[in-house]
Amino acid sequence: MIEQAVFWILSIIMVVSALGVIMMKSAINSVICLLLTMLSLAGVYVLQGSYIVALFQIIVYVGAIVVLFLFVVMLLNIKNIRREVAVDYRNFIISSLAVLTVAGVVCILWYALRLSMPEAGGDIVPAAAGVKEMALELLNRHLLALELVSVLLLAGAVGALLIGRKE
Amino acid sequence: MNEMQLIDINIVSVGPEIILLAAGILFLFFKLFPAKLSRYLSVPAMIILFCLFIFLPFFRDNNVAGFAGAIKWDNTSLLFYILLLFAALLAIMFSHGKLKDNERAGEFYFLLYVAQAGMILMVTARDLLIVFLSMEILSVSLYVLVGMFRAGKAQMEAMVKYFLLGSFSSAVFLMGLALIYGASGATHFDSLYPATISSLHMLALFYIGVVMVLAGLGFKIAAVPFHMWAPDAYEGADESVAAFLAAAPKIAAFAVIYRLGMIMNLYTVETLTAVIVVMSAGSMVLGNLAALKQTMLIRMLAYSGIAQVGYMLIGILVLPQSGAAALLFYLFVYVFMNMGAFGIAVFLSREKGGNVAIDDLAGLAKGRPLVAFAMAVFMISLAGIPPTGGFFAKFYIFKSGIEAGYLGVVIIAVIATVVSLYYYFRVIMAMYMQEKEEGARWGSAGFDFLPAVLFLCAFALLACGLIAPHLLSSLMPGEAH
Repeated sequence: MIEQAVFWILSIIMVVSALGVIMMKSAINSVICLLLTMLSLAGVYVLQGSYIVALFQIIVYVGAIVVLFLFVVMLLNIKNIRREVAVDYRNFIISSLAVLTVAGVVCILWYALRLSMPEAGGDIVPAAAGVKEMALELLNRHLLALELVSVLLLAGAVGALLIGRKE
Repeated sequence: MNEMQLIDINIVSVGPEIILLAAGILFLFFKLFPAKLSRYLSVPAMIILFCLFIFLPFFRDNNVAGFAGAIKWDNTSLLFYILLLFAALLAIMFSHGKLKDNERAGEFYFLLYVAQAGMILMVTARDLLIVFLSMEILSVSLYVLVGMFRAGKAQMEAMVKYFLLGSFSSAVFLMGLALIYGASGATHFDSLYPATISSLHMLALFYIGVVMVLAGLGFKIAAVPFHMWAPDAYEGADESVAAFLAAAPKIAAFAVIYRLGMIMNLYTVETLTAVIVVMSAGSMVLGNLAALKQTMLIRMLAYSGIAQVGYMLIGILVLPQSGAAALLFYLFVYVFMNMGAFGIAVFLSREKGGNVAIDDLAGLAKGRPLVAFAMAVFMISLAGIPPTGGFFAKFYIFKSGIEAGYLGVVIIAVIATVVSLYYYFRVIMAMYMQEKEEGARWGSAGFDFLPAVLFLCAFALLACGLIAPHLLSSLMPGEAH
């Protein structure tokens, strides 16, 4: 039962801070919210028993990516990113359509998950995710995926250099 | 400790990708040499692509597999592979003029090769995870290619728009993949039959996952309602990149949709059929209507490409039966007619400088009769009029649609085709019937590489029309095994 309680607390923190990322007025606050989201996600991973993933989540996202975000925001000195949007009936229609779509998707997902509940609820297999098992899986069954990620990073790096270069 | 079982890697199964990546990385180093050298890079780039045809006899009828079945070459993937090679070859030929004096030629070929490797992986992959990764490799290189020759704000905007929407669609695809994995516990196509899912409760989750995966792929083929990016990205990119963008990723994404249909036998489920029908009918109606009022050639071609995707999706609907061969034939013809039409845009924009409007084509028939003839063939083929391959492609697709009982969709398709005649013929009218005001500007400048290639494309289309029945029967996937 305590697991349930921790799960719900973490989930509420995650959803609220995720909303905060897009709704905060100043960029710094958004980044802090993102940090909170990442941390609570790491907590959910711990609940699932995959400690290694939680560890990577903290090291990579919290330790590297969000800090990088913070640096960028501070260096660029972005104070107020939200520009005043003219209140306009078209904006209203479009945003309400977007809200409706999101609500619809959430409802469908909820319905599907409810249908699948009796099956999924009982037997969650605690993932045996030690470092060794993970390494063996990664370099054996998922070897191709691993190599493809490296190709993806190479293409991304070349692309970033090309786009970022001054004329 | 021998409890681990090592998978069979079989490196031959990714041979083409390895060659492409190695060669691409070599191209990156061409910066070190004097600028003169990079002018001739297009020649080795084409030769290497030609060399990849060598793999054909090895893979044919062999069913080469690797990485524990994550990669599998059957004769259908070979066909997609050939189409991709043709598309890349044409793109390199089109870009030759642009890159002549460009110091970024090496990077261009690197990105093109990486994109090509990603697409080849997409057509051979049998695992949704691998499909996702290769699709990302493809997308990342395409984002950069679109913005590479940026000259102004419009290009930058096109790239950013394409990048943002593309990232969203990738996220949707990934979410769908997660749901499928959650429902079935597998990502390999062979273990993803809806029938193999143990409990019926999981099916709802599974189907929602498949719909999201289809949405992600729908973005890549620019089907309505995921088409918004296409006209802007095509217009912002260099014409040769636009030609590549309009053909090659569509082939790869169609290959994945085709696999989903053939292996998982998904499109017999009513919900999923409805999704495809909506995408197909929407693309045909919206694409054709929007193309009617375009004045710029590239935008018109972009909307016509959206409409063509709608026709091809009919083939997806009837997949287990005759749809497969019809779809493959359509894709085969599509590469030549669509890339040919874009090639004309490349040619004209080089001559004129800047974006080409449809009215700019006036008087082309007098100045450059061969180019005008090629363009006329492409337009007639896109419209679907008898002597060309385009007619037979449409005919077989419609026929298989009617046989499978999708009469409503086919009726929409026929009406859409009639509407499309207007804007395709407007181009032909402009070329042959209108006079140029300030005299003939299309001076004939002796032999040129690009028009010759385009003329070959047009010839291939006419030949496709003549040998269509033979080609179709040899494309039947069942027969080739």
